Amino acid sequence: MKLWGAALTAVGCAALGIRRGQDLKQGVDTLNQLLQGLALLEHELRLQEASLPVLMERLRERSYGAARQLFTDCVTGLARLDERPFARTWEAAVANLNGLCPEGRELLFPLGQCLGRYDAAAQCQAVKEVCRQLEQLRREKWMDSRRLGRVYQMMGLAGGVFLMILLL
Amino acid sequence: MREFEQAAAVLPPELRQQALALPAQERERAEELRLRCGWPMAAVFPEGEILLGGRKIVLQDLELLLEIASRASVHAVLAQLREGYLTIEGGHRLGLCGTAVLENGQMRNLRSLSSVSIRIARQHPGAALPLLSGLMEGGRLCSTLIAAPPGMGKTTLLRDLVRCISDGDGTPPLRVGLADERGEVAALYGGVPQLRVGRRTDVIEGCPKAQGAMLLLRAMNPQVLAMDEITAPEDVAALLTAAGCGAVLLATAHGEGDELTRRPLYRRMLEERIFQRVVSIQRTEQGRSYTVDAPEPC
Repeated sequence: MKLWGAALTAVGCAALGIRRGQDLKQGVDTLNQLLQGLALLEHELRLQEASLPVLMERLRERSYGAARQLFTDCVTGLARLDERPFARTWEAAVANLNGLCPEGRELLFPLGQCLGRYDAAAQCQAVKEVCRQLEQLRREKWMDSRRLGRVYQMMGLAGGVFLMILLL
Repeated sequence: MREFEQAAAVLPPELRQQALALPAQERERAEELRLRCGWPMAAVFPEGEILLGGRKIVLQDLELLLEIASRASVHAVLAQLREGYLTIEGGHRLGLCGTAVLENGQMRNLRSLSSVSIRIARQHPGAALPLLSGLMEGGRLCSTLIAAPPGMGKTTLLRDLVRCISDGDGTPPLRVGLADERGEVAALYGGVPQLRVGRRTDVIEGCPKAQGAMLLLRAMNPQVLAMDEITAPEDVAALLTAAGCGAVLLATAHGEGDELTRRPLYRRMLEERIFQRVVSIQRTEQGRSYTVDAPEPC
């Protein structure tokens, strides 16, 4: 019985460490998805003269994960444009994104002030700039996830083993 | 939705409520809504402009209005914005003023909007019916020029003439080609005319009238060619070509009476005798009245 309890505690500690490592990896995945979504947005803006609601609908169908969630919220918000400006819809959609780090949110928020308000070239420029900064953030987060991910996993495992020894 | 409500739908919520608070009778009569930074919103009636009260308009109101009207897609309507207007659903027209952004001497965009007018598109089906008999000769429709000063209803009359001819309402039905450069006659929105121009009407919008007219002649074989506001020598040249192709012409021009013969541009049209009828519009207490004349040679 004592052995079981100690083993479960150890596994729990290890799982916590592994989970933390996975969270870091998920943050990188979220940034990846958003980067792909924004690259699509920039591409569509550059090539098409479609209105933003049409464009967001297309992007929703062609993207996945966090980007899909972002574009879906934008489509919903654009249908209520007469009640709420798009900048606020964008802000709410970004705030609603799961797994995105606060620095990523800060980078994305200002884009709502630009999308749909300027000519296509200016919007593309703004999206590109955000992509550049997000890419930089993604690299940093990836390094963190590689470095800290292993540390958290090891700490979890070591903590689990240590607790088991203590309990036994 | 009625015209006024449809046009007011592009206003920011607070201003929309203010506009919709107008009595129904006033809403029916209103011709425009005007928003100028630093002043309360105003409504334009036939007798003049009246301030609606409420708070002063600020830049953010105009930006939000443009966002709603363009469906948050300025990039998609930039060609129209460069001309200083935007056609919205229902054929209503936004006129925009502000600080122009120039690129190579050409206007690229408008920033810091200063004022916006929302011109409420109203149709008057049947307005042209009393005229039709005067425009026929030997059972055939005559080429007709509608000449009047601005704001007298030339476009409204042209639109209803096009509708009558196209639908065969009071005349034998004919195929009409409409060169609608600024989208004021048919007001296409999503490819569908927002204003009634008849079921046999093909519309080309957004390209210079002369080019549009030539395209219609080449591609759609119209029996009647209609265009609003003859303003350039190219427009006259296109009309002359169309007349040579046997199409009946319908057009409008600014001016009245002797003005037509004094202006070199219109003089040429009259010299060439491409129009057999000239319709002039007068404002009366009962509304508007029309006079049909056969133009005299210059």
